[in-house]
Amino acid sequence: VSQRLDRLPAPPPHPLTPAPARTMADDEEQSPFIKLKSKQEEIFEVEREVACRSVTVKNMVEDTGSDTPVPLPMVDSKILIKVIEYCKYHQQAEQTMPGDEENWDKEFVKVDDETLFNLILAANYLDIKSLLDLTCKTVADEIKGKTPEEIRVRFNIKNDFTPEEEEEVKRENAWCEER
Amino acid sequence: PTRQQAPRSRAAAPRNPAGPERRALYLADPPAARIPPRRRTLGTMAAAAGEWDAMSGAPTEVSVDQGLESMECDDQFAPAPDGKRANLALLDEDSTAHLATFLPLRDLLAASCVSSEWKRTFDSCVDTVRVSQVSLGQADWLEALAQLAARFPAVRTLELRGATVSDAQVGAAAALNRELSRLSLAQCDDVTDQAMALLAQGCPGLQGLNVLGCRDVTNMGVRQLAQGCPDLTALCLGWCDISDNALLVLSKQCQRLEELDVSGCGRISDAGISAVVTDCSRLRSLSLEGCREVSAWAVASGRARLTSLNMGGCTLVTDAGVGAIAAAHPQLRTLSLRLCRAVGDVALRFLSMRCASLTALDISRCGSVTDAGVSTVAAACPQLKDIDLEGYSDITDVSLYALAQGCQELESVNLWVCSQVSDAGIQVIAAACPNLRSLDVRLCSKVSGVAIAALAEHCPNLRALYLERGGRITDAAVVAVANNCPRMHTLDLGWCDVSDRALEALAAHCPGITCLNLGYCDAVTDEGLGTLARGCPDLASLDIGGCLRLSDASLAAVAESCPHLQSLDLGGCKHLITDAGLRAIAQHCSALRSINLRFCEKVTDAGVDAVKRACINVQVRR
Repeated sequence: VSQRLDRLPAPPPHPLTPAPARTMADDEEQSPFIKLKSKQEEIFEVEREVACRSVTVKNMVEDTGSDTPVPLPMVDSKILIKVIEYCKYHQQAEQTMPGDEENWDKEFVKVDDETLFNLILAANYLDIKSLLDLTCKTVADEIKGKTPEEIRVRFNIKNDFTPEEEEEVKRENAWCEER
Repeated sequence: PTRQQAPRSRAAAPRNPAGPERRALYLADPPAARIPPRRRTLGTMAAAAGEWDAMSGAPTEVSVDQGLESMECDDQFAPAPDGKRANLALLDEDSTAHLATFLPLRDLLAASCVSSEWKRTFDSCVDTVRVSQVSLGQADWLEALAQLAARFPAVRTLELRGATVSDAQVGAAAALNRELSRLSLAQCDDVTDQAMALLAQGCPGLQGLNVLGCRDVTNMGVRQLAQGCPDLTALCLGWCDISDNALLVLSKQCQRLEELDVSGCGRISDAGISAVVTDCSRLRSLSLEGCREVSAWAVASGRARLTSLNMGGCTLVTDAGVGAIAAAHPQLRTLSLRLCRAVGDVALRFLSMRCASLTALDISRCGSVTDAGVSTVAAACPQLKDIDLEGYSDITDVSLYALAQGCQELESVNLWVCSQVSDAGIQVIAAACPNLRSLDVRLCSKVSGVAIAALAEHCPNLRALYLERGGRITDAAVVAVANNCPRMHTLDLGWCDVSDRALEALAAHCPGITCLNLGYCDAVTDEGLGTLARGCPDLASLDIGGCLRLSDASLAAVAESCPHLQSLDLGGCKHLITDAGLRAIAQHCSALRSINLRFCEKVTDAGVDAVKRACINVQVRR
């Protein structure tokens, strides 16, 4: 658990980055930036509030302090950038008037399947519930209402059932009533 | 109706989102120019990159840009170059389970037909299975259950609806799935105490059981169940052959009970109920409908804090008794006192003093309920959503004004036989309660089409409307309803003045109609009914009794367009319905459960037999 040393002065800004603008000046004794290290070992500096939208990161920072980069070996740089973009937008949207979040989210998830699935994995690993729900719902909407053949076409999947197997699956499905 | 198809076009992925300006720092090591290979072997759920491709045997270096380029191809329907990318394999179990929570059962099952990998993935996300005689058709119960249990390992809730499940089969089902937490055997007539014993042995962790209508379940069966399954939280023993002894055992063994339903068990008395209410402190929901020997005092004693109570038909309940209940259970949200003849305005005053959280109140056909009583409740219970005032000829528009003022969240109002209610009251309710979903004004002769049209305009959420034998309900009113209320699913227009014009409007705007009563609307013709059938394919219950202009052509149209039909009433269609119409129905509507052919003079045994052969379990009324 990191020690909050309330009476010490604020630490000097990091030499390689410009002095951050203190928006929440009254309660930030620790560095307002957190470093995240992706799988490719690239470092991304992110504001504390933005990074702590991930419960995983928040817990890790509370344990080890905010000086060492938080290692995220399961998250690609490319995906981490998207996740940070999401968290930044929603952090900023929360401070200002609630507005266009739904539309922004819709645009945000207009990515290829692989990125979307990786975003799901990342959101799960980083424990960001809103991003996880958003991405899962997006994929679910792509499955809903489609017949199996339409799903195959949409996700580029080869049907590897034999005709007999397919019949058996359909028969068993027919036994299960909706409500 | 067309299913909502998810939009198929996806915008192309942005080029190179990882621009250098977004990165703050590099560590000592430069960023890896070589991104690990992306190919994944078929059939694994591995998330990490770096696996060797099973087919080509060598890793491929794919840079970020190159990967994006291949995504920009707009042709969504061309398979990937090597045709083997099963993207869902990227997700781990946790994520897939979360994804599955957004999919209803129908889509989970569709997804499991896609490929063997998807089948494995999604089959383990199915947690509820419902099987009935109708859906099984000719298949063997046990074999089918065994196959389903093997296929869906995560099932925790199982519902078996149907007349022919035997005790042995229930036991076998329990043995197949020891982790079962909820089981419903509602209306499985062949279930007896032995099934209870087998369940107690096979599923000791059972939390919910429903044996409504299993008349051969007795005290002994309940005793064995209670002793074997102490974790029971929800139990429905409606219309079983039990008495107070069963409740005494339950109160000792299953103290975690939260929901108990003993409707229709006439031998239950105060002793059993007060034992349960005293010892099962977590009890929240209690249904005693039709338990004529139970009085309010048994319910008002004890440690349980009920939120839902149904004492319909408990004739021993008095006004003072309701006062005691209100004092003991102030958090009541749902209360039914239907047919409690000794209950009246005084009881309503007691309720208004204590139970401010009421959301649903059923005081239909009680003693003397008047405007005064209804007004006190309306003023005190602002969260009221559902009120049932059926059967009071003393209730006037004054009650409706009070409800409009006090309860603006009303969703369902039942005024059947409240003959003094008129247009003015309905219009006030309509204006004040935009969330209204269901209104019953049958036999309210002072309510006319004017009020209904106003209702339609103010309440777009209307889903059920009962207008049988109202005032003059004409086409104009129905057209207004159709135009404004697309979510309509139940519409009762018996004895109304409607013609084909109304049916055409319904067909055009209300595709979700499942239950429709056009009894004795003699202006309706084959053409109108045909249009309606084509526009509302989800029709499950249709009453066209007494519509003298309808002939076999209507039945043919209905049969072709509405395969989910379950109930059909042709009573009184004297001349024009013949065996040919019945054969059409038999051919397409195999889910039919009940059909009324009284006074259909041209129908013979041949037609009836055709229907009986095609529709298992159908009940025919002649």
